[in-house]
Amino acid sequence: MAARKLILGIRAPVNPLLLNPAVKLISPPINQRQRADNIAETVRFLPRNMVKYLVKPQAFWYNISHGFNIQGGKDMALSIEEVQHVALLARLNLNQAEQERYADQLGSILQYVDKLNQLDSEGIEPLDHILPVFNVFRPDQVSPSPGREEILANAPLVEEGQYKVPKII
Amino acid sequence: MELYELTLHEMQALLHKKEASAQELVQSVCGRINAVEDKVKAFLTLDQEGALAQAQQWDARGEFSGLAGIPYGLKDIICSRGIRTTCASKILENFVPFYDATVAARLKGAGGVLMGKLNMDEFAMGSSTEQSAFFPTRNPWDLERVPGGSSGGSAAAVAAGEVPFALGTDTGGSIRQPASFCGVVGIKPTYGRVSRYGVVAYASSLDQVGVLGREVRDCALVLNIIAGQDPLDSTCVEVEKPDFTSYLNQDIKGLKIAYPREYFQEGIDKGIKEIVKKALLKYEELGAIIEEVSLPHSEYALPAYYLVATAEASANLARFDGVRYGLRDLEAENVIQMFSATRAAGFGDDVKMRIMLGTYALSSGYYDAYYLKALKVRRLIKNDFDQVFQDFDLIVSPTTPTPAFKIGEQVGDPLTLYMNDILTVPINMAGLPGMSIPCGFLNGLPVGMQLVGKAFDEGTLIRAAYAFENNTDYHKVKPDLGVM
Repeated sequence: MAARKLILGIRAPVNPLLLNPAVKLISPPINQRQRADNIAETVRFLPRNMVKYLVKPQAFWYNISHGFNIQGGKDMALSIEEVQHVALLARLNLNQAEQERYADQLGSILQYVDKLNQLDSEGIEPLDHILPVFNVFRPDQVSPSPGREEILANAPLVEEGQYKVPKII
Repeated sequence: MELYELTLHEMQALLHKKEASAQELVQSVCGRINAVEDKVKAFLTLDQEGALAQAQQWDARGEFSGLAGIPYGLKDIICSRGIRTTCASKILENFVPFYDATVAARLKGAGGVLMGKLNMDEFAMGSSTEQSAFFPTRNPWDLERVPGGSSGGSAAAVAAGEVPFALGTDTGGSIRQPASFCGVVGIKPTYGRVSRYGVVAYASSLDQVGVLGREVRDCALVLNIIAGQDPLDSTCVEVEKPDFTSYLNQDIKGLKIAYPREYFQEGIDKGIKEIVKKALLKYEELGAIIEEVSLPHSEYALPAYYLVATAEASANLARFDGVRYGLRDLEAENVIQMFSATRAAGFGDDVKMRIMLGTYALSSGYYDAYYLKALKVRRLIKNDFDQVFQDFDLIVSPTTPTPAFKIGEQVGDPLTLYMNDILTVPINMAGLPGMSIPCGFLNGLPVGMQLVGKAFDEGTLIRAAYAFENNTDYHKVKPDLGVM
């Protein structure tokens, strides 16, 4: 994980492209093209999975300037605050160890799924369901329902034939 | 040969001809379960008494048709009236449904005898059955290895001779991958072919119920019973339902089979590739036409799947709130605390992780970037398949990149574990029918071949699978569990 978090995704200190991961790369946009071209010249130092950036140097620059890890996609480790926010939305109490683990694991999964951004999906209709089925109606007929007692039998707390929950308002 | 060793159709023939009684059959199966269950650990709940009582009733009636008197197992995600249904989760540890899932009701209606409920990865999230909140199931071919998952209990029970067939569910490979690891036949029908009513939902646009059995004929027989429209599931559609057994015994001369080059790439075990290529030669020998094709968006299926599946899961699993069923934290003072504490105590690690990922992908500001993007990619994946099926009847590939791995080997690294699904996930994304059949052995472990057909064309899958099975002996080799 640590190696993956290096901004350029390059491990060896001998590599001239090595940047300190702690340093945020902020450069004026006017240098983008020039910068990418300079980097392209260092082809012999590039790991194999970076060669694609030689074809599209602007993608390389775009990725660095947007905080993407060019080896696998965006470096997306979540902050603890983000994890806490998502956990609240998901109604999940997480202890500190879990928060840290999920920040890390979610980060690496998000980095992996960021692969999808390699695809141009402009103008493609999302496929949210495989069947061409929209509204399905059946005749509106009364049919037997299970009894209240049967349904309540699985409930953790019941009072007077109803579910009991903590005070809401 | 003991009764429990027979296939479903052989058991049927014996009962119909009255050469054995239902009680003898169920007793033999109970004996087998008692002998091997300590090693395999496929069942979460057993109901041997109930099963024997049902067998007795069938013998008393004395008329046998359909599945009358035939034992089977259900993956513990399928609701069974009066029998605990846990989804292998602590949150449902004591949940006893008051109704049957449609598939359970149909098997019951056909006379089947339910032996018990089978282990799985919690809420069907996993590929090894190690994520069960209770215990891992073991692979009958090597007890140190996983049976695959999430329908690992179903596959292991069938392979070990504990039941002649079992139902499983498949969201990203959860029938085909364990079938492959355990050397049995597994079929995931087309999305919409089989009702999901009463099957606890993981990812509603991907989930499908299917059959695991020892032979292709058995799977076709059971599919005949469980398939078909259901007024209780609006996504279980009205399409012509053929007699799936009518596709057995047909020759495959002229059948056009495609093998996608992306499914034979780096990352797939060399030994497995060789075995499946040999199987393709067998098909050629039997008169099929074999050609290489490309499914160019294959590498994007897995990342897109993980967004779609977890997003849907995060919504589906919101129902486990401690109010109507399942676990409840009784200490909490307000309702949000109650939800959050209940869910924290009830869900396992991997389930929580997927809920978190899905919630994140659907959350404000990220919806377009993740969920919507994944749905667009899903369209591209489906288009790839549509393209190939314009010219071909069937797609053939390995089912899994490796044979069964060791227990504990892949725990703790979600991404490595997800890679197991790389060859099966695209089929769910496109909603197509898929099947895994035994096609060889690698270092003594079974290898599965995946067959994929056009939507609602399970018939061609069954026909091709049957042709292969009839001309090979892999399905006849059984694991040695060291008991008599």
